[in-house]
Formats: sequence, structure tokens, C-alpha cells
Amino acid sequence: MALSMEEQIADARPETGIRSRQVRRFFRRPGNIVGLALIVVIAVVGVGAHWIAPYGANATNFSDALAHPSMAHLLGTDSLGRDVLSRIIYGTDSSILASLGAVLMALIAGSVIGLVAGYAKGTVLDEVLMRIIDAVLVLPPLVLAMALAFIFGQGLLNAIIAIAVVFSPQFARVVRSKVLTVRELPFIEAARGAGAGHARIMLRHILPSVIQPALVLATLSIGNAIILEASLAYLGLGLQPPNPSWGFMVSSDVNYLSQAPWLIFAPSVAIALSVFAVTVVGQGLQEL
Amino acid sequence: MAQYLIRRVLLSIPTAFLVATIVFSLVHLVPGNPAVVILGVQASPSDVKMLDQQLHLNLPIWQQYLDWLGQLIQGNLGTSMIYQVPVLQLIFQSLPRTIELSLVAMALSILIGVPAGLFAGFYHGRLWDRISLYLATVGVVLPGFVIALLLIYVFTYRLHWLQIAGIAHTGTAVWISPLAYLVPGLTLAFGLSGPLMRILRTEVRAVAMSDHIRTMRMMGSSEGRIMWKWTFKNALIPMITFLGTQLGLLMGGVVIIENIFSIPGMGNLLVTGIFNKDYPVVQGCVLAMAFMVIVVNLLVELVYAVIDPRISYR
Repeated sequence: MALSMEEQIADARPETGIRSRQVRRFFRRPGNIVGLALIVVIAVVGVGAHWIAPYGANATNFSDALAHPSMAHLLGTDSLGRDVLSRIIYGTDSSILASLGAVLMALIAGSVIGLVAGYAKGTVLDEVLMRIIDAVLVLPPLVLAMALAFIFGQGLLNAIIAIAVVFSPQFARVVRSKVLTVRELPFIEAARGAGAGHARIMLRHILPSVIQPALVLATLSIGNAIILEASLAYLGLGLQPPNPSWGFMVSSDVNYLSQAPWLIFAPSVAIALSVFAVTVVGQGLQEL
Repeated sequence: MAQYLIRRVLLSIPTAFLVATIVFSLVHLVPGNPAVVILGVQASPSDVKMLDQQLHLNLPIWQQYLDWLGQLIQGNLGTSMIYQVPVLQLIFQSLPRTIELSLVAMALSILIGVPAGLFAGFYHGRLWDRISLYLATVGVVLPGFVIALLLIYVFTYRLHWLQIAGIAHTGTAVWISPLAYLVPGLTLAFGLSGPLMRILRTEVRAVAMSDHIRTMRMMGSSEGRIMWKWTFKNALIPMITFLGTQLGLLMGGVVIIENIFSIPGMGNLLVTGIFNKDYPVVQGCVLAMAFMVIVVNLLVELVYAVIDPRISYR
């Protein structure tokens, strides 16, 4: 059966898929494997927190407060006698989901803005969108996130939205610049000639060709999102206590730094390891 | 030159205006009444109404915007609801501490990042290159507050170096107690010097291959002279670009670091403003920080024009 016009146009589109050669190259670097393994561990811990954690997230035991790391409490206990390891394990999903959710939201919102702005190049719409994005980029990321979290009110979902707003301008810029080159290619003209509407051209024809740099940016942004989420949580603008979040664990027991440094450094290591894992894998993917 | 200067300054006005508009709409267009947020959900309707009037929230939104913009142009950022003093006054009180801290951080990151980057670039692939790359990764992977607490722990509780200098007395100007700025500055520099080092490393690698360096080497210039006089000069522009663009991130870092070291700067003003639900202060701080970024971006462009003869003052 002859190919439909749509399929022929799709065939003419530049290749965007990932090949097995690239997968092999990715796995040749030991750093990438370590990063990927760490991500798997973090994901398992996050999903299976309920089964893995030796104690409840909020199981308090005042007689055992500020206990040193021991066999009973591998990472010691905090000022309320809660098991630090368990709280880190229970805090995994909120930290990771928050950053993933924020980056995903930023990816979608930013891509839509970039797609529309780039497609509408030279119009007032493009000009207005890009000026707004320039202005948002002037605001320091953490400061903007803090202001947004403040206005929306404290809480995890609001922190996620705040981080997403902070990150979306970068996605919009990356996507727009790619759209500007793709929209001039012959296959877009062909699609237009075949009678495709604006929405169809943008979503079906331009989007697949421009999404790759945005996905790379997304993988590289996850680490920053984890840090931003932890910073908001540190300032008390993230997930509200008594729910465990890594950033807030650090700030709530900061006064015990000399007495019980593990309280501070155990959640810090959790943050650092997850940022390290996603950064290494992100860079590995970028080099493909 | 003067013409170029004026043009650049004029071009940044629309950006500043747009930033101001965004900051205004952040506070006013988000669903929910600020008065209710400030007073709490249980507040009586009459109290809410009174605060509405006090904050002019009862006026139509466009009128609020125009009033606010008019006040802003006159340099009036409103009055703090907690301290009952003009927000601008609070900002001017805390601004010096923040600028000092940022400058110390920038200086330290240059002191660490530039030599590290130059050496890493010159001895590409050797042990030093690899160590510095790993250190740079550590600096990127750790959030600012973790680095700060780590440094406090090591310097204060392990080495006992900072007991006399006192890390909690940073309310003074940097020239009065320079030591007090050392650890907070180092914390910020830790995150900055890594990327700075990487940029210099790449730049050095690129320049080291170029014809004019080969010629200098052939003519018998010493390696040290090549490194500092010829390569470093070429790497200046990307370096300034980087430091200029990092100011926004630095401002974010400053917020956390000021909080940890109790430095009474803009960051602390913002955090206290947020916890006091002091809307005018929050709005003013965000705006002031954004304007600082705009001004620095402008300065960076002017510095380019001065140091790079290829950029003409058109």
C-alpha cells in the first residue's frame, strides 16, 4: 500500500531516534554505569521506602534522642529520637518526585512556549513571550522560587510549581531557537502544502525534531532541581514537617552540628549522591 | 563611547520595567487575597477589609499597578508592615553586607578557579587536571548550605580556627572583620570556582593550540610568561561573561549563606520578610535583587567594550 502523504512527510523528517550504538557507547563509561546504578537504587528506595525503612518516619523515642550511629540506628537518631536512616529513606520520594515533577512541568510548559514563540517568529506574540522570558531570567532562580513558594503558600506541590516556573524559561529558549531553524526546512513546507493546520504542523512535525535538546536540558536540570528543592526545604518553604524532607532535616537540626554531625551530613550525603547520579547520567546522555 | 554607554543604559530600561511588572503581578494576580494570607484564614472579615484598605487592595488592579509603578519611579518601595519603616531604607541598610559578601566570594573564586583552570589546561590529562575536575564536580553537586555547614564543622569544631574570628559576628563591614567573611565567602566561591576552572581550562586548551602561542614558544618565551601573559588575557572575556551571568545564581546562594552565618544582608531581609508575611519587603527585595542583576549585566557589557578591542562602541 502506498504511503499516505503524512507518512511520506514523516519519512522526510530528519532522523531523531536513539540507536543501539549510542546505548553501547553510554555503557562503555564506568561513571555512567555508577550513576545509573545509583539512580536505580534511589528509585527502589523511594518506591519501597515503606518496606525498606527499619523504623517509621515519625517514630519518636525521646529516651534515645541524639544517639550515635550504632547497629540499632545505623545513622543515629535526631533530637526527637527519630531514626535518621528511616527519615532519609522516607524523604527520598518527596525529594526525587519533586525535582522530577518540576522538571517535567518545566519541560512541557517551556516547550509549548518555545514552540509557539518560534513558530510565530517575528509576530507580536513571539516578541511578548520572549521579552517576558528574558525578564524572568533576570530574577535569581532561588529568589524567584522563594518568592513563588511564599505567594503560593508553603507545601511540596507549591514548591514544585515554583521550581517549574523557574526552569521553564530555559526550555522555552532552547526549543524556540531549534524551532527557528526547523520551521524553514522543506518538510515543513511540504506539510503545509499538504494542508496541515498550525497545531498539526507544530505538534506532529516540528515538535519531534526540536524535542531532543529540550530532553537533554531536562536531564541536566534534574540535579539543579534537586538542589533547588533541598534549598527551599532548608528554608522551610518545601514539604511541611513532620514529613521528612532532606533539606529540612538539615536545617531543623542545624544547632546540633558540633554534638551530632551525622544529623546534618547524612541527609546532605543523600542530596549529594542523588544530584551526582543524575548529573553524571545527564552528562553521559549529552555526550551521545 | 558615551553614545554606546547611553544606548546600553536605555536598552535595559524596558527589561527593568518588565521585571517590575512581573514582580507586581506575582503578588497581585495569584489567586488568594494577600490580606487573608497575612491575617490567617480565621481573621474576621472586618479586619481583612481594614488591611485591604491599608494595602490599597480594594482598588481595581490596574489602579493598584499604576500607583505602585508611580511610587516605584519615585524610589518608594512601600513601608514594611512589621518594622513600619520604608522598605528602601531596609534595603539600603542590608545591601552593603550583601555586596561585600558577593565581592569576597567573586574574589575568592577567581583566586581559586583561575590558577586551577590554567594549570588544568596546561597540564591537560595529567593528575592535577583530573583532581581539579573531580573537585569541580563536588562543588556543583553539593548545595550551598551543605558546603557551608561542612566548612563550619571543619573550621570551627575540628580545627578550632575560627573560635576567635567568630562566624556569628558578621554584622560588621568586611574591612572591620575580614575574617568573618572568609568562610561564607569560601562557601560561595566553592560552587563558583569549579565552573570557572572548567571554562579557563577549555579556553587554555583552545588558545594553547593557536598559532600565536606556538610562535611565542618558538621565539623562546618562557612557559610561565605564555601562561599568564598570553593565554590568560585571551581567557578573560569568557571569564567575565561567566562571572557576570553567575551573579543571579550567586544572589540565590547569598540568601542561604546569609541565613546560615546570620549576616544581616538582603538575603536575610528576604527570608525574614517571607516568614513575617511582610509583602512589601518581599516584593522590594526581589525587585532590588533583579535590578542588581540588570545593573551587573550592563557593567559586564561595558567591561567587554573596554577590554575587547573587537567590540566597537556602536
